[in-house]
Amino acid sequence: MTTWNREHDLLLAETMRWASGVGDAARARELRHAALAMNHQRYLGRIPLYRDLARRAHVGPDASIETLAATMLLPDGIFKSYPQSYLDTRDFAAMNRWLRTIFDRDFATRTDLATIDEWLTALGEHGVHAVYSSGTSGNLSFVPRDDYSWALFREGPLHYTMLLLARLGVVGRWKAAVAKLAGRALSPNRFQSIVDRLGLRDFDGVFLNFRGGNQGIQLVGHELATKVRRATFLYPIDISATALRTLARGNPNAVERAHTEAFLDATVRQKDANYVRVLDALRTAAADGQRVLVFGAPYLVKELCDRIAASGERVKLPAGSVVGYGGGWKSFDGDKISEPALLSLIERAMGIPPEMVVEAYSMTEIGALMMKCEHKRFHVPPHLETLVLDAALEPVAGDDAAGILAVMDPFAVSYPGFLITGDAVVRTRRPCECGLAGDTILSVGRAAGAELKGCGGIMAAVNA
Amino acid sequence: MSGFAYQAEPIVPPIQRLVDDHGWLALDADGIVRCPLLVHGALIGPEPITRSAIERAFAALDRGRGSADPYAGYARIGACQVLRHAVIGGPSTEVDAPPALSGGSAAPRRRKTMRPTGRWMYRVMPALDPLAIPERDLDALAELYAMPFARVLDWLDAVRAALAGDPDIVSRVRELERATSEHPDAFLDAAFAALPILLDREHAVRAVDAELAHHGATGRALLDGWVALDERLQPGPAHLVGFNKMSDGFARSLGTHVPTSRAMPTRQLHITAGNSPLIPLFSLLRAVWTKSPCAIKLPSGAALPGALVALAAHVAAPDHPLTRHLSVVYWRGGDDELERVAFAPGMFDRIVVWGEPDSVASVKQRSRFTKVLCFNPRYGASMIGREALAGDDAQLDDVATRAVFDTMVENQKACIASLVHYVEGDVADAERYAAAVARALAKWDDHPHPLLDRHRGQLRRLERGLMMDARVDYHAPGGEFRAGVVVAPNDFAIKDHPMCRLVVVRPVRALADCLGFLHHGVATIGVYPEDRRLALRDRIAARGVSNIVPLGQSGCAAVGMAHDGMLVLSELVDWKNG
Repeated sequence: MTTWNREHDLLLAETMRWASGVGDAARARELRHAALAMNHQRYLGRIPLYRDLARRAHVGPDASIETLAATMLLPDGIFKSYPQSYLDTRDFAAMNRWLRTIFDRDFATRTDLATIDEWLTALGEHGVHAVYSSGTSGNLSFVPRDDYSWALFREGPLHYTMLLLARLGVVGRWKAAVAKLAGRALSPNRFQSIVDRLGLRDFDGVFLNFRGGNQGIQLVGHELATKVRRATFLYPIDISATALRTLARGNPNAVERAHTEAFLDATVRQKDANYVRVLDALRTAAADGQRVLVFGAPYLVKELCDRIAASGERVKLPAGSVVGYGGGWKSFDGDKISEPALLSLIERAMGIPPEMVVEAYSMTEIGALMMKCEHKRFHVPPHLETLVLDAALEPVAGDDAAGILAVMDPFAVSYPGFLITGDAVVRTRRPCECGLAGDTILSVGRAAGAELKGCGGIMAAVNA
Repeated sequence: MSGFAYQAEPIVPPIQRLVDDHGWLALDADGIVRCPLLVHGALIGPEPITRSAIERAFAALDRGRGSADPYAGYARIGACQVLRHAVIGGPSTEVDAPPALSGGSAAPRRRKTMRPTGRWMYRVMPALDPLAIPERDLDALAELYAMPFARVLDWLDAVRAALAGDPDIVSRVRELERATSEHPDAFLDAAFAALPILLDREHAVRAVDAELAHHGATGRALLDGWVALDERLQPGPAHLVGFNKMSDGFARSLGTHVPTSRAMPTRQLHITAGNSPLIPLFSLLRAVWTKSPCAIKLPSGAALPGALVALAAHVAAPDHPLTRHLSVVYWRGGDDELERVAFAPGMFDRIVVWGEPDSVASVKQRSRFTKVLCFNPRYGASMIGREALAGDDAQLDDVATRAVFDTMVENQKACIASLVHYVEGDVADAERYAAAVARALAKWDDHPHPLLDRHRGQLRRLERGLMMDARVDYHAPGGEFRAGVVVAPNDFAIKDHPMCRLVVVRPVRALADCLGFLHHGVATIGVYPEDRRLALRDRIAARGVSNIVPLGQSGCAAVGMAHDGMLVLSELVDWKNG
């Protein structure tokens, strides 16, 4: 188990108290700002891109949080600012040089690598965990985390999500009461050891995910999979960054072509067989009276429901089963249905009522999970500083603000965590009827201009 | 003699009289401008509407607007359509630009700044009946289709003369357009000054004859009737197989019939864009030159110049077949009620669409049974050979100045404007060239341009690391951005370019290395020096680029040139065989 730095230990403890309903917003703010100030100094000393920007903006080590918010927010595009030609030519030495500009330490990998997947593996062997996300253009974002940031990323959200799930009634009543007490009284490490031991062992897990690989939302599924009694993955292979990029951009070499073929085989060609296996797992759990946690992106949850419906026999999962989804509809926007329609579909297909369906919002670049409550608000955990910006990237003041979401994440230790996202949100600081304190996000969409202007469309994939 | 001195009534030109009688094209105290639309030659004015009704409608639309979201720009209020535009610019001032360079009678009023004033201007237009726009009675088009091309020239002369005879109304429309225009003043003035040139009859003759010439016949002849081809018909397989089944007369006729060809007008819908105020006029002229009935959908950002020409047509040639089959209209792009009809099979023979990728894709997808001509979003680039760096700074400045002219096409909003300058050399060479580009751009400081919030945001993103190892240099006298140069040692995503007078300078080892960055999305490449252009032009063209021109000439055009790889007039007519 990772020993957290004191500033993070204190923040995790505060997120646990917040999730247990006894958070102290002022203290959280103080702890958060202290951690952010430490991160700023760390970035200044170690991250070349950040240091360069600070020099140009005349920002010193003792800058206030307000100054940092005004001058040191970086676009999330820094995680894909590498020339695409580096990957086109499989120049992984150059990719290492690029990654170093946004990472806090030197590293070296073998460079006789044939694919992105090999590069990611090689990075991992050197303690650099590059989580990636893929856009429609095939330009992959890579967020580099060291072992410590990686642990915070994977394990940090569990400290409060388990407690929030308990609030939502996902665990039994007595467990919820115990969890609430534990959240208020235990240290983060002690709490985590209990979560690790008990966790979601009452559940079988069905993950509409790949079995492994460092891709955004997949990682949430992987982490949950370690906590359930038995895990079934829709795709029993590791997701391949090589294949994702090749499918979007073409021009593969022989090794990349083989990766892509294997990927297509496991996902497209074996799709029916994969769903048969998943449906078998669900029906077996239902027959055994075993509660199930189903997790995936919304379009896959919908697809699962459609498959169940097409099978002609709904699956009646035992009471207490849960569906969790997040990650938006991405390029499957054409399949998008409204939230009420999706909830209704889930209930009809699997017998899971709307109150047992949980949605969460996050992004690859941050170490936080924002869970939606019964009042349809995404709750921002108190370790995360949120800002709302207008189109010119000027901060928007007020309790109710709508605009581009920016975040300052104290859990981003090894890479710049003061970020302008590509999401447009409506954020409010007004209290939520669910009783949970702090910032909440009422709606999320893509920021205007995230796929930019007159040269969007095919231009989105074009480099010059 | 009565003893009274005779005092002549001032003669009010007809367009001005018409608009003044109806209260059109004048800014009232409420910030409202009423604009008529033309439907099959008839002017339709908007119904009366109050400022308070407009404000209520927009307040409802603005509810829930985010700080990063644009304000609502369109409202449908009863039988009116209302466009809302921000008034841009500080106190105006008279300048010494000669009227000849601006169109109209009065000296243009140039804006000192291009910042939003916080005031709105509302353009009110009538709502449209979707079924009224397409030409559905094909027999009613016979007169237009049979009309000789000479009558096209008559129409052009009449419209041109009407505008020339009414300079005050041209000035008025120009100033109304200026109040909200995002185009720098000088560009707007140049667009209005171009009206008489574009309406010139010689221009029409040369364009038609160049683009529609076929088998040695002139375009005009082919538009006006069936032209015999100097060719013999070849029998088809059925004739060969069934030759013993023919009568002698039938067999002889195969050898004696003279094939003919005709360029038939088509019913055209032009969905235009506002990145140049002249685009609606370009589209209108293409329809007129091909003797075609047409509907021009004006862009929200440049509706007035098109409306002005429609007014002139109505006044100067109301009974001319071209006017009677001309509609100049507006509806909000994506309006399902209108577009369901407009894109239905058989409503139009051609749909021409300019604009944003989503708009183009949407129109193509919904009008699958009509021939669609797309002017897709594209961009330009410049290729600077190492010869430019071989001389002194004066020579380099000259090259940079030429390249900046390519960048400044419609203030970098045109699809041919150069966004990237590839320089043959190393980073130091690129830095030296970039300094020359910065000097050349600074010379355009006297033409301020507005910076939208999204531009500011994107400029900040660029400053904050969006391009690896890029050196970002913004020219911002008095803290106000005027231009920027970014030296980017590596390739970058073109979607990150803000297109607001910013040049990305990219060093390349050899000019041929640029070929890897070219594709159908690149409209124009300007090359320096000329011998390098000649050496590379076929390879550039093979990659989908439409225009490979000497550096500095991207914004030039010649009559009869292809546009986006098409001889557009040839695409707009329907080629018939007889």
